[in-house]
Amino acid sequence: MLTPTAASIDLIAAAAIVWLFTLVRRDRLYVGYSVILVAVIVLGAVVLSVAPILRAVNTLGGVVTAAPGLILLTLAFLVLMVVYLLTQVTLLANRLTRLVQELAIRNASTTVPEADGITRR
Amino acid sequence: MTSSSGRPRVLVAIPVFNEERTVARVVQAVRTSTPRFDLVMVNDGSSDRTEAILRDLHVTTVTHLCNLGYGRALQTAIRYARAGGYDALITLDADGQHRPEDIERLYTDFDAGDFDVLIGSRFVEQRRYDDVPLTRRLGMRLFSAIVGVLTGQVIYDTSSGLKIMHRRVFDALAERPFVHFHAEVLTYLIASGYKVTERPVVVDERHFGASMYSWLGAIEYAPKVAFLTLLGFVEAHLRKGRA
Repeated sequence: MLTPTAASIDLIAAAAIVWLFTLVRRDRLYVGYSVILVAVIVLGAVVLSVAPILRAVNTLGGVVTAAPGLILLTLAFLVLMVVYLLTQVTLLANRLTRLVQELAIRNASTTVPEADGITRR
Repeated sequence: MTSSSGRPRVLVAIPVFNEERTVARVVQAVRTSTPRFDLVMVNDGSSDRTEAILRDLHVTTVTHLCNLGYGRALQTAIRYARAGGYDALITLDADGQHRPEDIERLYTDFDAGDFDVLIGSRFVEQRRYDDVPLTRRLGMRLFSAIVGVLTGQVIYDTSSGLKIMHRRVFDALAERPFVHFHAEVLTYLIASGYKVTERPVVVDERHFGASMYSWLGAIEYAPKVAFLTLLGFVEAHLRKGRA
């Protein structure tokens, strides 16, 4: 049975995945980063919304008190900052790629041996 | 656009990265088997003697200042073909696994069938992946199934490097993000209504150099291409909806 809290977590996770999907579609986020972020979000949502898994993780991690809301907000903020930084890195990488490709095409070269035996570029 | 003789202008593009042991043989074989097509090598930032060998062979070379990866090298070839007004682009790998004598036969089929993309396929005839290592076989089955489910068309060899593209797809591909020009691009093209098909070719064993997929790359490959394949499918339908 899905509790209201778990449903909210899943909704937020789904919205985050759609957002990442849109960023990749617009070529604002490199697909390799998005795959990792989506995996982290899905894993986080599953752990937080399925009580037995959360209990198991807490037991494994030796957690004695529940994490206050402030920590969750901090984590959400950190994820947002990481996404922002990665979009900036992606933008720069895309510009660099475009530059390298354009330079390559403009400087396409052939060395042709002419009839007089002198090779010209 | 066609050449002054009225025949289509065709470009053969070969992305190359650190293939000093095979590149000369591949260039000579392509020149011999398809003399009527133009040839361009896309040197993707090779750090070995590849560039010097290409210079000695007097072949037109487009050189990336740094390594951008296979997909980006193919994209450079597409942009080069588009800028040069070519009617069709043929791509093949520089590792010597493809047989250049297949190119002319494939192009004849491509021209006669009015296809947008024709793939030189290792598996379309036997429809089995018996000769392929297990992990690769699983990947091929998976991506073939994904393309089949999303588009309704089964592509048996989604990762073939031997492809022929009509200039109709140049614009669609020159600006799109793609990683390897595999399932992600094929799904996008088929879902967008382009005509994609396969024809059988023989692929030889790789004798020199290493595969472009390291073990880490191979782990990365599946989720990245799966994600982009899904994205390509959504994108194609969104574009259709807007049109």
